[in-house]
Amino acid sequence: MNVSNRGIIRKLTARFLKAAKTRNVIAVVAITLTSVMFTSVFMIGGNMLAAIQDQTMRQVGTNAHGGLQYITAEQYENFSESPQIKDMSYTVILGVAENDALRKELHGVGYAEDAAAQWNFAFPSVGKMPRAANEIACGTITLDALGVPHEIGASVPLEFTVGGVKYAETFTLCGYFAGDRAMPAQQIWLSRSYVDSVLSESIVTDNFTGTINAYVWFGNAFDIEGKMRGLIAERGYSDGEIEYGVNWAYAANDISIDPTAAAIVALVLTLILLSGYLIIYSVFAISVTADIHFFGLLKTIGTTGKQIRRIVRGEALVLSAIGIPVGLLCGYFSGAALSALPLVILSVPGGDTNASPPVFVFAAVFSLLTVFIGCRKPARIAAQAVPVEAVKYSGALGSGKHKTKKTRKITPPAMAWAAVTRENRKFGITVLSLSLALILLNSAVSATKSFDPDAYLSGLLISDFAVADYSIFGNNRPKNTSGVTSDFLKEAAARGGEVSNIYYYDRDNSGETRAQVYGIGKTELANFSDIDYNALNAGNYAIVSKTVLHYDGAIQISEDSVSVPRIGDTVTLTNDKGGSREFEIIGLVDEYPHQLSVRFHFINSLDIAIADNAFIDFFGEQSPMQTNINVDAEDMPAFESWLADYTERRNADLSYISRNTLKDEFAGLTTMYLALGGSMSFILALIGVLNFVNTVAASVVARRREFAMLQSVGMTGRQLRQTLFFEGCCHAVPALIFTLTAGTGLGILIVRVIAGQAWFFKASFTVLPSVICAIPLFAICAAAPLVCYRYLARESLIERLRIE
Amino acid sequence: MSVLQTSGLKKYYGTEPVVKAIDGVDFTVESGEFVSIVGSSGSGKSTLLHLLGGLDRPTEGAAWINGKAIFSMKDDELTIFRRRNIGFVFQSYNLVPVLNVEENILLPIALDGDKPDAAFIERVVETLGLSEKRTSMPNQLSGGQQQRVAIARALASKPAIILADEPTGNLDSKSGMDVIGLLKVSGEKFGQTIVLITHNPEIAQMADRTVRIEDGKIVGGAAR
Amino acid sequence: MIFGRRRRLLAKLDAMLDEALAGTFDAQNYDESLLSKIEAKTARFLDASRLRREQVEADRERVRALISDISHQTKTPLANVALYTQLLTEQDLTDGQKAIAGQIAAGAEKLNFLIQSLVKASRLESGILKIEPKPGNVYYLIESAANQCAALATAKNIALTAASGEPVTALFDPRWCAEALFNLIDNAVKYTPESGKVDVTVTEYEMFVRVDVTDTGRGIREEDLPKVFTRFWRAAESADSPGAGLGLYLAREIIAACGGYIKAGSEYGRGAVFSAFLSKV
Repeated sequence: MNVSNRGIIRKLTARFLKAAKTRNVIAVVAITLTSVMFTSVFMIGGNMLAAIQDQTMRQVGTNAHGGLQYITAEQYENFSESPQIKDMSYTVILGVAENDALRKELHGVGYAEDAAAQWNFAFPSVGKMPRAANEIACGTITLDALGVPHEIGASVPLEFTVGGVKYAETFTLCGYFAGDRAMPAQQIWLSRSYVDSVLSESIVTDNFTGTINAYVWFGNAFDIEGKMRGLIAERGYSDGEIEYGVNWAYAANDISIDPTAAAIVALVLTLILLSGYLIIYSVFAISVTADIHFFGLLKTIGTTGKQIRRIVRGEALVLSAIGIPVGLLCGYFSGAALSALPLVILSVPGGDTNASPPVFVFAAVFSLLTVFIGCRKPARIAAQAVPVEAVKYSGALGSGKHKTKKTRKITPPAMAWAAVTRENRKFGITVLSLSLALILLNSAVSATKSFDPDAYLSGLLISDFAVADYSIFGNNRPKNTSGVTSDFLKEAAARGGEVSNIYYYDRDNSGETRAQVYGIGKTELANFSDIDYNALNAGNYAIVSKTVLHYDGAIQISEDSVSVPRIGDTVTLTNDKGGSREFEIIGLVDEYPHQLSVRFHFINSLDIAIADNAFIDFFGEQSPMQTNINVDAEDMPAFESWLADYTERRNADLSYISRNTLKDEFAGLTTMYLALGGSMSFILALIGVLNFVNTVAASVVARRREFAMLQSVGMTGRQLRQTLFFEGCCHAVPALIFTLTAGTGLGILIVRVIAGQAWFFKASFTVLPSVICAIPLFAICAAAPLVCYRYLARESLIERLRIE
Repeated sequence: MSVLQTSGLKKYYGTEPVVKAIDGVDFTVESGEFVSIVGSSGSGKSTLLHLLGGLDRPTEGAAWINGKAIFSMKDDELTIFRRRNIGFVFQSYNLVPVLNVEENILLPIALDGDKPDAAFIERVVETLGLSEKRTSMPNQLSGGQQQRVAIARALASKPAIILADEPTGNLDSKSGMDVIGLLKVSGEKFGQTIVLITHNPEIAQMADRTVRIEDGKIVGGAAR
Repeated sequence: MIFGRRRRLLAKLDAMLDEALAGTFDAQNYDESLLSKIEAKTARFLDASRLRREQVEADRERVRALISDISHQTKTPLANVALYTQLLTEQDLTDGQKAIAGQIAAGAEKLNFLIQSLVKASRLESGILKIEPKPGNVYYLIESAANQCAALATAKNIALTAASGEPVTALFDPRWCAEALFNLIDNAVKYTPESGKVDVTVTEYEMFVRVDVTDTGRGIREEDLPKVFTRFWRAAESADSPGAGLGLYLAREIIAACGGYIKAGSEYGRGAVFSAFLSKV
């Protein structure tokens, strides 16, 4: 049972706060900056995760937690009564569109409830869902393929087959939405009444036409698989009776994050925490040391250590209450500004930049944590104030051990060094705080420099242009592996393009793909092998890659394994017509180049490259998968504009990548790293400088009597200013030295962590930014003490001497 | 009844050579007494006062306040004991700069979570001539006024004993007489036991009893 | 729940103790609770200590009454001794007889003075006489005190100067403080050799008005300074001077009762300064 004395502690806290205005401003700014960084980082991270999840959902086709497939209306009713389900909606499958213009891609035709359409990313953004029998809603991709204008009321022809009966009707467009090629299928929605009438008049023979696809949401996204099984069992169905699907976009919730990402997150959080800690610690340590006299006095009067600790913590809490909300708000804006950038790296189509409540909660918690860690030691110092010491406390005296020092020459630099290192801990923290920004800046610039533009370009492109079906360059499946039309090839050649083709074949009689075969030309071969094209072209020869994808990841076959192909061995390939032919292996490569491949691997299959002529000869005439084109430098712009026009207007299925667009992309990528690293460095630098200015100001104010004493014994103002100037330099020089030595090691580590996993990474490290930044750093370090001193010099010598 | 008693109190500093700041002091203060301890600077009188107030711990010996052995208490216990039983008046006033006069006076009571005895505080404030300064901040007061606030603060919690360490040391002789007079007058008025440390015999003679200390030992006056 | 009850109980005990300290404690509850038992015992304990205190008080009162009685009862015989001594000296007496009668007269006067001082002191201490400090001009006070000493000073050819000027206000009881100040000045005049000087000066402080009585007598030894205000104390050298050792004691008591204090300062051989500090608030 304690006496109730919280009131007075609160009052003291409030008064101490009111008395330390400058300290408060610095502390609030520090806390704000810290929470800005936390908010931004959490927001960027959250948005990246959200964007990746969103992208995955689009690949899956829905954002619902799970789906029940091919069920009846009765079953749907049954399921909808389950208490486990938070929300549920459905679509009815009618069939697929059979218009010639729509054959290239899967277009599902059916009816959807509004919610289900939304969960399928297929809810009209313009117009509405169909209600009347003649109404239709679909995506812009469908409309474009059909050549229908994006206008409500436009006529949309649609062909499909139900129960063996072919329907060809024209509907009126009542709503459309932005289509997404990443989706597994495009959706065409018809009205309920129309779908019902078609179903009622046809005899359905398969077991999915007319069935219901139900989309299910649970209370949370953990263990959806288990929940689905539980749901099916709960509604009284046996195992396997109901087909179900689990949205693996939510799988990230179940499995652990990959270690590199975790390392980046940990590193960034640690960095922010450290810098925040450093300044908050130093701000509070300084103010507590300045007030130690009063804490001792309070103790003399009868304030316990615990109460004093509560005062210091209370001050920190109040300052946090101002700084953190402001920081959250500012962090939201800077996070929103920077969020767009990381999405570029992941080449994820821009998700919305938004901040969910957890972002703010996490940011606030981490900021508060930083503040509490930062003021823990100062609170302890205050709490341990010894009453008697307090009564006669006078600055740095008494703290630390007094070692005997040999007499040295008294010069301003020597005095400055002695003064600065008098309190080692404070000195160390200031230097470290200043260094952090420099180290991070070096790292950010180095990370950008480590991105090798040549590696980037050649990793994506071996010629000026590459043209293929859009499915080859994107993540879409299925891939059109013979999409380059002869019409295009003719025109490209006519326009002076030097064309080289890659052909592709992977079918196998056994049903399991054993080999992915590429037919390549001279340009392609030169890109990854020393073997002369003529040697390869001379007969049935092949080059085989040693890297094979296994279920547990890509591995390289070891040289001496028995099953490994060796030079001189033969591989037997089969074609569609049932023919087979032996190819002699004349070369082995570690890996068949990604940018010349179909951009996916079958499990356990070999990549085999043969000459284009041999390919055509054995597999028969077909269109190339990809065409690499080189043009003369002066023709480049004209060719590119023609290519852009052709792939957009003449054949939208074709897409291209060019050296120029890649260069732009690369520049964007490096800019983003610079912007991200630069802005973090800037905030860290701000914190560092703030920390430094605070330390210097406090030390000058604390030592004003000492200065007055020095002046009274004959030190001139000029000498004093000199000493102060050197004191500033005594911080800048060690900070620079630390940055250039230990900081370099740390920086290299940071670069490895943040950029090392990029495939176009080429380790390099530069300290140039820190050297350049040394100039303003020196300016600030030299100026700050002088400004403080000038402020001080406004009081007369006598006034300063009199201060107790 | 004795309020304060010490037995064989010793305080040594350093090892070689040992500085004997206090060297075996036996000393008793009776309830209601106004005792002054005189001695030149460096005689150990301040150290003695710090020990008596439990601000410092002795090398050897014991002290009892109201029969309680203060050095057998832990730090926080001693702190709480101090705020309930000992009032301090220092040479350098030592007011809390962020609190106004009244808040400074009430601080020890508030720290103990007690309701102040309003009538008593009123009398103390009036006796010390602070009625019109209640809401002033310490830096708006003269040295003498600040010291009066310190005396009021020491009196406010009705401690067992008030320890005053050169309370007039920072004051001109006029304010000094004011302050010491008030200490004496209010001590009598409120029946307060006071131990005053001073090097000034003129001030010391105002006490009921004077104890002289030299080189850490009591050399004159009645130690009782 | 239990926590809340405990807190209430402790708060109640705290309040009880506050009442006990203020002397207003009374047992309120009589029931089966432990609290009631504690209340009753506290009341009993307080009663016992009150009785003890009253006993001490009564003893002291008896002593005071005794002193008062003695002084009262000796008044008439003393007056008679003085009267008849007077009558005796008016008779035709030999020189030797005259000298004896003079001794009797002096002894009687001394005894009378002593008794009167004792009466004053005892009335003061017992509170029969209330000292009521009210604001007044310090110079009036000094004037009335100095006037009473003028005759003796003139007789000893001592220059007695009393300060005057713009009114200075302090708290004092005009009658009693004039007596106290008279005692100080009278004391100074007594111990100052012929043709000496006694100055009464006024200094105004923030909290006090200081009245200094400075003489050119032989002064007081430093070790005697703390003792000069104690009852019946007299310096060894002053044994032959008239006085009972009660004047300074009385002065101190009176000034203290007015919220002020007295101090003495001296350098032995160079005179003494007695300072009365009269409270301003």
